Amino acid sequence: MAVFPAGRFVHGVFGSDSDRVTTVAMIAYAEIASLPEALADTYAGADEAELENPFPDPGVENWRVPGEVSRYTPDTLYQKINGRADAFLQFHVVGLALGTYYHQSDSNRFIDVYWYDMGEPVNAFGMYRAEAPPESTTVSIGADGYETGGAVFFRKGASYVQVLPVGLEEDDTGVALKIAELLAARIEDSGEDKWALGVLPQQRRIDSSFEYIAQNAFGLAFLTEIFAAEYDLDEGRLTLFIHRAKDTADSGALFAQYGESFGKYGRVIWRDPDESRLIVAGEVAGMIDVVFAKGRYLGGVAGAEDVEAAKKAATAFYDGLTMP
Amino acid sequence: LTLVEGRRALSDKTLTRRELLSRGAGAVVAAGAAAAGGYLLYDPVGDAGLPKPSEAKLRLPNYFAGVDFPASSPRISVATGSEDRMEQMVRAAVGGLAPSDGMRRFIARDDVVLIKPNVGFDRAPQLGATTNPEVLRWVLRMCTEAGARKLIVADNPIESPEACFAKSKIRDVAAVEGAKILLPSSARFETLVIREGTPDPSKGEALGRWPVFYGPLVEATKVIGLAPIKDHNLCSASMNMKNWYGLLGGRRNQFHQAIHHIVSDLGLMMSPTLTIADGTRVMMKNGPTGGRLSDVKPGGELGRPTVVASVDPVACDAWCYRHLLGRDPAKLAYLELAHKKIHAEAVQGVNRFGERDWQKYDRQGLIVTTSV
Repeated sequence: MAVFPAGRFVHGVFGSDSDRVTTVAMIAYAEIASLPEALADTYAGADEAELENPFPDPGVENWRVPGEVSRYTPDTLYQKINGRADAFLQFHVVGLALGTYYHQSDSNRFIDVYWYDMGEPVNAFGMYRAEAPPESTTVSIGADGYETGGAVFFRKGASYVQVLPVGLEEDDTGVALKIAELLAARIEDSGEDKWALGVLPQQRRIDSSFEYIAQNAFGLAFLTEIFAAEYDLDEGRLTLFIHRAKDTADSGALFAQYGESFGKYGRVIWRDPDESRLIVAGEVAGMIDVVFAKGRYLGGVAGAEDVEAAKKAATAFYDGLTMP
Repeated sequence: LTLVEGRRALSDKTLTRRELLSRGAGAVVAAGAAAAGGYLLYDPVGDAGLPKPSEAKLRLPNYFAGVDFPASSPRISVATGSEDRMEQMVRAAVGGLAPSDGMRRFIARDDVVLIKPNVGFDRAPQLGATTNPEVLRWVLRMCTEAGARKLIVADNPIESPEACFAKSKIRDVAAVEGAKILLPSSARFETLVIREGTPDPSKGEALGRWPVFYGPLVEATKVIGLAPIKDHNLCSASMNMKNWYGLLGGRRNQFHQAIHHIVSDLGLMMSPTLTIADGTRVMMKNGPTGGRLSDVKPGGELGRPTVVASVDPVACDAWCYRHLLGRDPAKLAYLELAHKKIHAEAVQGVNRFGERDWQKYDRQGLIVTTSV
């Protein structure tokens, strides 16, 4: 018997031939030690719950269900997607489960499934929207499902799923769609709180531009959990945003911080002459923001080029915003 | 552009507005350095498993030093074409640097050549996350034709190297072209001295001594970098200098905290014989992983598959950043940092180029373009 530690586990090799046991143990040690931690854990036999295979059998001839599931945490996600991990961390990713479907007779054909647990539906929405292409073929899978280049993407509840065929066979897209459908059926739809869509003005809104920014919105560290959408107005295209603070005091504090940022990084160019209305416009690096606080909401226009257009849109937004 | 993209466009995806504006738009480079200040990738106590300072003596040689390269020769050679003319593109790109010799200008008989593609992800080649295997094929073939005794293809992906080399098709091409693939293993890492003493973050320095995938370099006499041009979530673009990240070992994820320091240090660390940028399938967004064909644009902003050969990795990165990704090199912090670091060596007589301002070469007639 040979025993060796690797990763979080102690491994053992048993047999009657001591030389062979030693050789096998050395090979196993080298292989396991070279694996990323998450893979090594799977290889070694992690907890039963961790090893439960979440990936469905597509029931398509020659396609084999992933035999192993690699799991990554926020701390280990970089091991799989390297520098891209930070984008997911911005949206508070909780974990990634990765499985690969293999074609039994063609070793060049795989379908990788990346199943991200984003913790909350709003984070799944935010990350999903950040990556989605402007144009793609819509599919009826999960929410906002689409197919592009043979790969299928969807979100549902707190999940963001990418089904990526590696081969170029057209048939693989059909298998990818089947996998996505079956997987979506396994994911609980925990619902979405679409309050922001009801608060942002609806007229002239480009719905496909609606997005969520979890952290560091517009490069401002204090600005989190922002919903934004673009508007096709007579004055040009503008971006309106909204944040729902804890209470009026909180939104007022954010408004003050926003105003201070104008002074710090640019300049204040206008304040609503009615001092009871908290609306201020500022210019930073040639871009105009008009921000307001009303009740528990912080909103406004961001990144505009035309001061008057931004002021007009922001004040109209302010005036039309009704308190629940 | 979405709102976020619009904001990113302001800073060319290099810095957040806060970082940019807190220092003024004219001080972008300093901002990039300062934003990451405080991170030292120097390990005086050995918790990264580094040997004691006295044991770390290895330094990488200058692989360009032996190249007889006239000052009047083009420094950047651009070839545009199509997917079915990959051979012509690669030959034209390399040939543009040395019309009479082609690859023989760089590779001599009996050379052992390390080609370093980007094999960092287990993605299909069409997704542009890894080097186009067909570009690799013709680079390998040209090295063979030039008389190379041995070809080595190596990279150190964070995830399973076997899967990365297989799915990217790099393994298949290397095998057909007679190149040896070296996969990372602990025995193939050595601690290298990137700079003497403690790095100074205020100068944009990050690497002092660090474990490097040295196995492929042990017998290499020439080194060719072969990187795909792509968007990168953290440093705006992954190009030629960033490609050397794949040789690093240790806890390199922490490099993300000082990314511009690191990329420029990589440019300082490695002086390759030849730099070849793969602009055939440019990942324009969602980098460095991508995953959608819609993220990929053949030739990027040029609109035609492109291969760029250069003897100046910094200028090559700047050119690719401008023409393939369509972004402003003046706002990419690591270019300026690399330029300063390499220039400091060049003034001491080291034979290498590191010009951030690609337009300077253009004005001097040192950029050639070929359409095949």
